[in-house]
Amino acid sequence: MAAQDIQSLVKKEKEKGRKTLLKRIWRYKWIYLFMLLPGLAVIIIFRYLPLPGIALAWKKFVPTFGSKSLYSYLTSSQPNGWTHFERMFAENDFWVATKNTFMISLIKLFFGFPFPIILAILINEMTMRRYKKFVQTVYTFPHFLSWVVVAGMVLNLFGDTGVVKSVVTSINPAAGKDWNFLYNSGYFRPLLVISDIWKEGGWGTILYLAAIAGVDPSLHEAAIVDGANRFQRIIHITLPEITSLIIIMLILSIGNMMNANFDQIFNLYSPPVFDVGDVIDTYIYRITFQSASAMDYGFSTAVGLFKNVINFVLLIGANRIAKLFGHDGIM
Amino acid sequence: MKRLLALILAAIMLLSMAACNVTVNPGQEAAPAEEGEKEAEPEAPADEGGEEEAPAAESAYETHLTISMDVLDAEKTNISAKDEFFRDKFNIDWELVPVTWGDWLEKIRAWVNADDMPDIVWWDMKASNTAEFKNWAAAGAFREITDEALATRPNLAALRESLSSDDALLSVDGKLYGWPASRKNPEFLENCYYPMFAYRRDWAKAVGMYNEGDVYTWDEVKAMIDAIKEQDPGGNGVGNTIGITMESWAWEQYQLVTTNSPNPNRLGYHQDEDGNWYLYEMTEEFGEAVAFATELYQDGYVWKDQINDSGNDGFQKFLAGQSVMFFGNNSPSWFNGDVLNKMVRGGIVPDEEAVAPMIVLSACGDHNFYLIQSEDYWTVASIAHNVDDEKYERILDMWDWLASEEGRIFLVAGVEGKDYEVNDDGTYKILWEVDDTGKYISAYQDCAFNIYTPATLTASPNETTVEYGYKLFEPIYDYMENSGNFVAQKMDLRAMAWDGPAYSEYGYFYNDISTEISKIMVSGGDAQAQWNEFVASMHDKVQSVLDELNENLK
Repeated sequence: MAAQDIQSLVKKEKEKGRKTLLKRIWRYKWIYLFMLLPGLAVIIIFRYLPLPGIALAWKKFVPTFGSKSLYSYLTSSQPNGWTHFERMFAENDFWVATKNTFMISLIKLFFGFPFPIILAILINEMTMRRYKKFVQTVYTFPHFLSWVVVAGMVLNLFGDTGVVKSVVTSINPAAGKDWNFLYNSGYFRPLLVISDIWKEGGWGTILYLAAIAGVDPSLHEAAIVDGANRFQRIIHITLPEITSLIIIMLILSIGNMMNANFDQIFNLYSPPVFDVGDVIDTYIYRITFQSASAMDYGFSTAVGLFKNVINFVLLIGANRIAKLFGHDGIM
Repeated sequence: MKRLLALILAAIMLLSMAACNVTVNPGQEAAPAEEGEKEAEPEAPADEGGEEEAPAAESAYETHLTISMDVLDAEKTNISAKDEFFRDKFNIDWELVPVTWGDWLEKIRAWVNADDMPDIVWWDMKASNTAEFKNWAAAGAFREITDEALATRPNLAALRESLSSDDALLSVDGKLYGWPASRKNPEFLENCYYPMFAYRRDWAKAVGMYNEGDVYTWDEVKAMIDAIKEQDPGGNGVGNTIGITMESWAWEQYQLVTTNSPNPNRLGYHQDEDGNWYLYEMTEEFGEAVAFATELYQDGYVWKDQINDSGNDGFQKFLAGQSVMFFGNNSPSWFNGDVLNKMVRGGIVPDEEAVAPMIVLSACGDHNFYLIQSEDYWTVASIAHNVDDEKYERILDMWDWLASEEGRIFLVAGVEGKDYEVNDDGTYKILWEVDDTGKYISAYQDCAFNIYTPATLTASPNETTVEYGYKLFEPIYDYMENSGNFVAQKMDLRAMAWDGPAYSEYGYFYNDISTEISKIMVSGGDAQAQWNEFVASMHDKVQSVLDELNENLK
């Protein structure tokens, strides 16, 4: 059978599979729609209904009591122009948080983004099925631990009464005197990146493994016939076949850059590392809920809005760039 | 089959979302889904611990009400026979909304601002929250506690007369919107809390450094910690014993600094001789205390991870016998509760003399023992604006009864006939069991009763108080009353209740100051110079508040 015939057969089979899937989706459409309801409700309630509240960024918040209207606070709160934004741009802490958000996200993107891709490829290359499952489980498990638990583990490992210090001081007693691992600005960002990769790296492989599993085996077979080794097949077949997914994930990651993982940082940081670890989300949390003076939702809304506008611009920008280079993008 | 499974899954998802909104209280049936009244009906016994049943209280109220309230230790609340008696007496059910020390203020702020409050809004309101409270009250968040309502409730009216903070902090245009839980401290305490050290007196004796009366200088404290680390009387391993641990709030509130300030006015806004306002933390002499606290931390006398303790690890380390000293609200009740129950009875320390409160004299200035005066109440409770008249009256009736003599003995003991009897001379006979040493074993050891706190706190010691904690404090009280070296920083309610725009925006700069102190203490170096630099960087903002105070309150 000629190569062209094989390709056309594969295409037909794929087309057939797609049609069967669409048919099944159509057949069970009511079940799918029903299952969609809770998720849809969450998105509407928590993402769309609060949107008018953005107007608070230009108002001085005054609560209302006894009103049945969902947005009564918008009418009771008096306009105060750009005051919140002026205050925001004048606050040194805001700029520190903005800079840290970018820096931490960039570092995580640089080191954290390729990790699941590499890991997925490595796992895919494993031939012992049981060992492969075991490795996958070991790497995926940390995802199910909350950041509170992981932060507790980090503290117990690297803290003043932690295991690492005990081991180090048993070898070199002098090292314990100035032990300051968790509150040292120099170590904090690497700590964030490493703990993030440890926790989420394995979970991130799931999508890539699914994409790799969808790569047509005949391409590998043909490459083997042509004498390609494993590494060459990874570079010339596996990676190009999952490029679309990588681009989509990259665009989403860039569009999410201003969210530098609140849970992780909030549980790990402390005042001595605010200079390198305070991000916009933790800054908003502090000014909104932990301030000793009266809270100001208007100011918090302005900072939150700034963050989301930047995220939006980054998302659109990354999508455009992807398209310029001939990829599909997400929109 | 798949279709059925999918349907079941989807239904479960929807149901679980709906179930998130149901509050179930420990020890009683699920609260009725609909807020409001229902006819009185017999309740299931509340006790799960096999406790003796309390004599049922007869209720004077026909309508059964459900009252919601935020409460600490919700899981230990409303589970005892005592609670059942109270519920029967007032014909109510509680719908408890849990809060913790860590999220209390956040939750109150979120609930009030979103107009989603429990019926009784109970919080640890400090004088510094006055502006926020008054804004809420003025906007209509709470029901006024009217003079007419108090006129028929003599116990509450008497409490109102005895307090000073209610008018200054909790009233707007002469109308009262919050009820303070009055503290009734002995006069010599001058309404101070007990932010002070507890220490291992047995270890101090073991290394030969015990001071009669438990009064120490910092030089003595440092020498004692060094000796204990070296001689290891606690068996933690040489060098492993931690010097000082503390409550997480004590670190955040830079108590190590304020206990060593050279001036009685150790924090907050004060007026100088010319009547000009200043913020004490922004003075150079406050920097002296910052430098001293930094030295303590850098030299290893303070637990290094204290800075990252947002829970109660510092407390646990002391309870577990790993640290020499512990800084917290170490009142006599704290010794009666935590130390007696967990350390003495838990076998961590050999006897009741092993742990004691401790006076450590200020390292700076005139080396006095300083405490800071606080409000004449502990917490404040307000009644939400949407509470109807019947519920409003019932809540005030409950509080009035709790403030009566009958209510007082209910709070400290429990139910007549079960927990106490009245002697012929009007005194009370407590019916609780006693242990081998003659101490009462409380029938409610694992219960919490903060649902009754809003009315008033009970003065201690009382009929059921264990003497242990108070005996430990005898030398401390003696020092406070007679040495002449105890100084209480007075509260200035005028500044605290001020709600001008700059003050409302910045307050005491508490977060900035706390963050900077933590940074300096951990980074080391020239602390005084770093503090001066920080003060300079804060000048403009601080000055804007001072200008406002000088203009309005001079």
